[in-house]
Amino acid sequence: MNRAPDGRVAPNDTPRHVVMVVEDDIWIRLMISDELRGAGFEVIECGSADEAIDLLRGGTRVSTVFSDIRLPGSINGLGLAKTVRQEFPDLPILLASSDLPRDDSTLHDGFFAKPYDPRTIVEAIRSVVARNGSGASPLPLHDRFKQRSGDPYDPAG
Amino acid sequence: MTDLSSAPATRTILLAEDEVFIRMPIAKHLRECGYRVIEAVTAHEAIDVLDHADFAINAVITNLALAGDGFGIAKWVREHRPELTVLLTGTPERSVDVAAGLCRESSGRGAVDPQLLLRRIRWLLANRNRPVPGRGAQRAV
Repeated sequence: MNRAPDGRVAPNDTPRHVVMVVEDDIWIRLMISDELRGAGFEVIECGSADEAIDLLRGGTRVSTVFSDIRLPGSINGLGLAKTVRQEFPDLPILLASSDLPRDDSTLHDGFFAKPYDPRTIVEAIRSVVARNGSGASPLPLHDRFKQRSGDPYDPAG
Repeated sequence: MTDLSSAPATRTILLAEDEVFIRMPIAKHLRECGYRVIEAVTAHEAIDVLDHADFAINAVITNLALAGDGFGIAKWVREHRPELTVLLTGTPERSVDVAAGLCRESSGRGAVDPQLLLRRIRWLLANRNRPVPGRGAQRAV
C-alpha cells in the first residue's frame, strides 16, 4: 500500500471503482468519502438505506457498498445488507457500527467498529475490490438502454 | 457575491438535495467541473455544515422543497453568512441550469453536456425502483 505524505492512502494505482457510502451522519460521510476520493475511488453518497436501494434497483453501477448499520428510514444497514445479498449477491457490502451486529457474518463482507480509521476502510475496500475483480454490480439500466437505442438517457428512446 | 470563476479546484459547493437521483448526477457533474462538492440530504445537515465546517464553502445550491425547508437554508445564510452565494433549485431543469452555469464559469475539464445530464436525471427518476432483471423480484423491505 502506498501512502501520501499526509498519511492518506495514495491514489496512484487504484482503478476507478465506485463505492457507495451509506451514512446518515454528514461529518462521517464526508470524512470517509473524502478519504475514498483521495484514494482514487468514485463515491456515491447516500444518507439512508432507502436511497441506496433506490439507486441499486435503478441500475446504478457500484463496486462495493460501505454502510452504517444505524440509519434513518424504512430499513437500517442490516436490512440493506439483506437486500444486497438477495438481489445483488455478487456485490460486496461492508458494515460499520458502534455496536456489534447480532446477525452472522454471512450478511456482510466485513464489519468495522466505530470509531474507525478511514484509512482502514480504504484499505479494506481496495482488498474487496481486488478480490472481486472489476466489481460485480448489475449493468446500469442506462447502459442497457444505450445498447438498444444508442441514446443512454432519452426516455423516449 | 462569491466569485466562483477562478480556481474551481479549490472552490467548495454545498449541494442540498434530498432526491438522490438528482443529487448524485449533479454532484458528479460539478466534481467533473473541478469543484469540491459537499452533499447534504436535509436542511439540518446543510446548516450543520455551514455552521461548523472548518473549511471554506463558496456557494450553496439548495432545493426549495428540501426536507427541513430549503428556504430555511437561504434565510439562515442571509442572516449568518451573507457573503455566500445561494442558488435555489426546485426542479431537475433548474438544478441542471444551476450546475451548468457553475461549470461554464469554471475552467474545469470535461464538463458534461447539460442536456445529457438533464435527460439522465429524467431517465433515472422515471426508472427508480425498477427491479433489475435477473436479480430477483423487487421486495418490500
